[in-house]
Amino acid sequence: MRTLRVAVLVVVLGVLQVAFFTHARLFGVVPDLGLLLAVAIAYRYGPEAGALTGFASGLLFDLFLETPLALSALTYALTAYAVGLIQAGMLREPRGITPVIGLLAGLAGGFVFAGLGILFGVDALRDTRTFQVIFVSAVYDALLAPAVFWLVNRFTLPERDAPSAYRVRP
Amino acid sequence: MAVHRRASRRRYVLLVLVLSSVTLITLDTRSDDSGPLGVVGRAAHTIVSPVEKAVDSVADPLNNWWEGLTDRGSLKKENERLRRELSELEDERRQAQEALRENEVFESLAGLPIYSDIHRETARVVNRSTGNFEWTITLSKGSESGISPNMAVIGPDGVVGKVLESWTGGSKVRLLIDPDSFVSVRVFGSQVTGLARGRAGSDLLRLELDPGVDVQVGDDVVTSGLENSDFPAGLSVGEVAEVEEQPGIGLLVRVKPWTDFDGLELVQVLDWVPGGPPVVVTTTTVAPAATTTTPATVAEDDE
Repeated sequence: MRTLRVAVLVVVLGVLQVAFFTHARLFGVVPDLGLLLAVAIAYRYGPEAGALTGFASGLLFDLFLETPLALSALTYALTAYAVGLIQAGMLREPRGITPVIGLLAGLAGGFVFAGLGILFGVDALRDTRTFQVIFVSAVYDALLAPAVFWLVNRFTLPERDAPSAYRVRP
Repeated sequence: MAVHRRASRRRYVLLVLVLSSVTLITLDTRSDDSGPLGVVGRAAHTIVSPVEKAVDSVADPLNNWWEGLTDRGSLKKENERLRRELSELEDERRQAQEALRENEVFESLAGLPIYSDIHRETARVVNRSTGNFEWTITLSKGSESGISPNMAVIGPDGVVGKVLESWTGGSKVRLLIDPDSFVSVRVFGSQVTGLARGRAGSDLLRLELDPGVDVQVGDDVVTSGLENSDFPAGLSVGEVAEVEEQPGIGLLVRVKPWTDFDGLELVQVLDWVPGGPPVVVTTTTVAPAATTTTPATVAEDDE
């Protein structure tokens, strides 16, 4: 059931990414919703789930890009896997950490994408503007991370684990 | 023991994903769009196209409202209309001069491609670059309107780019400023031709010419229409913005395109075959199953 819900989130955020956020750019740059979703899943359910989600959401996004197919998929899977591993080593969850995760994941994902892209012959990435785009995109990811993490918690956590389950009912 | 098994499984999953990705990347870079991966991509575009159009129809009025709020909307529209008219007149003048020059040189040859004879399909821009490292636009019309890869695309101010892929309900155009873009051009008024290429992180095109060529800042640059070029001759591209002499190599010319790529709303896709015969349009006669091919003058479908 959770897999199905994650699949729905992958599709919904994928459509938002290619149809809506191309009109809602920050300094001409679009965010990486698929990466944020993969990172949120990795943070909540571990590196394996994050990597699988990242591969799926990245592959969906790749269908609409001119860069080689599966480049985003590989980037998202690797980044989400790393975030899942780091989260597993954390003793406690600091308040307000989601924008920080979004920023760091955006930066890491951006550099992994650029590095792999250059390796696979994407000439558009061989430019100093790439650094600027990665930074702005990471800031955009940081701004959107709380919303994506909330979506993941809201739609994938079992009822008993959801924050609302701990409310005292009259 | 269980922890060790879980860690091994994780690494195994990651390894499978990495290998799958590398395989797909290799397959994609080695095959063209007609392969199975291209079919999947076009299917995804076809499914998302209605959403793109719906979002654009909502986003467009919002943009206009915002511009109207800041008193820029009407002025911008008026300015656009005047620029379009001026550009059309300039185009006509250039077409005429270009035709005269070509006639002098190739007097004996017939059937040179003439801009006004080309079937044009008008389409609306419904989306812009999906990713951060590509310079593309998505159009409202696609294969159902006869739009296919490599067709030239022009806007009110000049050349826009080339069709990259098309599907039912839309098509994607690679803009001139994309680093993978190139167009065969001529510096207007001279015989100097070369390939103008897009450049990552720049709005200017890069044109490398032989040393000693007479090129001045402000010179108009038009498509050359040379053999195998995807663009007919004489279309406006831009003007020379910078000329830099590179000792021992030649001239590095930077061309500023006339087209405002961020402000594009409507474009025209030209049905012109590179190096092919004069442009013709197929018309169906009254008799059933009978088709005749006749030369066309101007065949234009409006949005």
